[in-house]
Amino acid sequence: MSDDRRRGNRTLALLAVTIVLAYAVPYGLLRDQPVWQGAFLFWLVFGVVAIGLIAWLVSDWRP
Amino acid sequence: MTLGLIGALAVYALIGIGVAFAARRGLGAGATEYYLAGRRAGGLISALSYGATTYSAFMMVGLAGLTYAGGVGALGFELVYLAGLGLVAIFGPRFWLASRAFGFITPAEMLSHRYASRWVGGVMAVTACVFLIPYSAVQLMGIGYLVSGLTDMAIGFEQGILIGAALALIWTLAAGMRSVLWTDALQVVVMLVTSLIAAGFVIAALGGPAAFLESTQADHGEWLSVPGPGLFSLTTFFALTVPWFFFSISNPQVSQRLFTTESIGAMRRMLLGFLLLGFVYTLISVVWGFSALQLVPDLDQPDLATPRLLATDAIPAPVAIVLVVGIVAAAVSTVDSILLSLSSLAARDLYRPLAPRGSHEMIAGQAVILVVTVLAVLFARLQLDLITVLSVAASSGLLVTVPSIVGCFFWRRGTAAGAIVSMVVAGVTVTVLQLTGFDPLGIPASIWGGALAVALFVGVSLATRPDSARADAFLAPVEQGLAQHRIR
Repeated sequence: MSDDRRRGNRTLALLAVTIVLAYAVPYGLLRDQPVWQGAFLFWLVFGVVAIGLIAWLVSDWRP
Repeated sequence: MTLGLIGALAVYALIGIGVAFAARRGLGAGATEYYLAGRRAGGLISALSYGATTYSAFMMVGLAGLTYAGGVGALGFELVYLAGLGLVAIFGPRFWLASRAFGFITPAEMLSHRYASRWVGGVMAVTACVFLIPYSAVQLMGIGYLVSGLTDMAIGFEQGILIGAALALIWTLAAGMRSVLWTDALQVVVMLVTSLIAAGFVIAALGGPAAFLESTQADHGEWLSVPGPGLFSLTTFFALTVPWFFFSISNPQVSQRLFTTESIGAMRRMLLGFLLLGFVYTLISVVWGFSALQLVPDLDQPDLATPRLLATDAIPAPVAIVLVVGIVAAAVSTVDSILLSLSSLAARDLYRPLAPRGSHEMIAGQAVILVVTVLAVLFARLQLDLITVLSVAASSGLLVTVPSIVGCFFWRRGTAAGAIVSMVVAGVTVTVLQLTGFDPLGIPASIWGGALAVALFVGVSLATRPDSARADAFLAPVEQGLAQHRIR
């Protein structure tokens, strides 16, 4: 397997883990936390990380 | 307010019509030109148009209402959808390479070719029509309610519907995808700028960002948590997010955009541009919903949060007017893309196999645009509960096409019978469950529909003989292109 392919697979796996965390953390660790620093902040960071990972995933494309 | 809104809508309509007809210049002949803008769309305009098509009146009305009713879960829901755009990173180049190699114009045509059966594309086209016509009708109803409510019926509900439908129709017919792209780009700017200005005014009315954060936490802390006031149980969160996660490949009005970009680089710019735009628009809509909680509390119907908020002193009349124009733009830009996509599906995947004389295909497609518009207007006027249910079910209903789309590229063993049975049986099942409101074992309809579609696609495919030669021939140029562009 080439380095590019390995890196792509790793990024996809990270994105998948991030998406699972978007369910698990707010409904687990942060459940019933009535503050901005709870689910709101977590999902905001999740959005930024997910966008970053997608950008990383497509950065290798050679048009 | 009434005169101002009429004037603003007139200016918006005139500028849009001007842009749509300007897009006619340089329009070539043929289906590829009309439906895919000649496969020459640049990255920036594609990103803007993708945003305008994806984000409808739902954002500043429905998502704000969801925030009002259920709190922060609305943010999680919309951002999980955005993370689903990772699917474009996987499927986007594959769609693009396959369409270049075989000349596909619709995603259904691609499935027909891959599974060597025109029935596959035909079923997909019918599925899209069943769910997307009611979805368009609800967009028009949204315009009708908003405009009639804010003008004290000076513009009636039906007139509102007709204005929305007429604009979508003109902007689609003017130059097909070219006019849709150009007017979408204009409209998404209107949507973003107007919502940003309006959100700024409500935050200011609440004493600025710090006071807004503090008072929300003090007075509506429950809305900052999940499950919060009750709407966003984990089950509901799953039911909403799973179909929307797959939206980018299940909904033809957006997946068809993966055929239109001029290059893989333009597709990358489209994806990244849209992600940025989507993140900002989501935040604005959710903040807007939280502001409504404080400024217009205790509403029985959360969907009224935006119209009621616009009627408060917090929003100066000119700002309310431009925001309404922005919401109308969001609705119209979604409807026109759906019109064009359904037209191409009907012409290429239903009409062409039945009447193979290609010369009438374009006329058939344009006739379909008219028919779909009339149906959407009629449905909207009837205000049937059924329409609303089908519209809500749209993303769940189209989820049943996902296994066949994934199998197209990732499972050579997939067969036409598997694709057809999964779409028909799971599609009917999810519709019946949505209509009756029955959730077997407490599991929502969308999850049942998706799981059933996967099980049927795999099960029936394994029980039938695959066309391996066709799968190999289909995948060869795709795999070659992926290697060439260094795409995993």
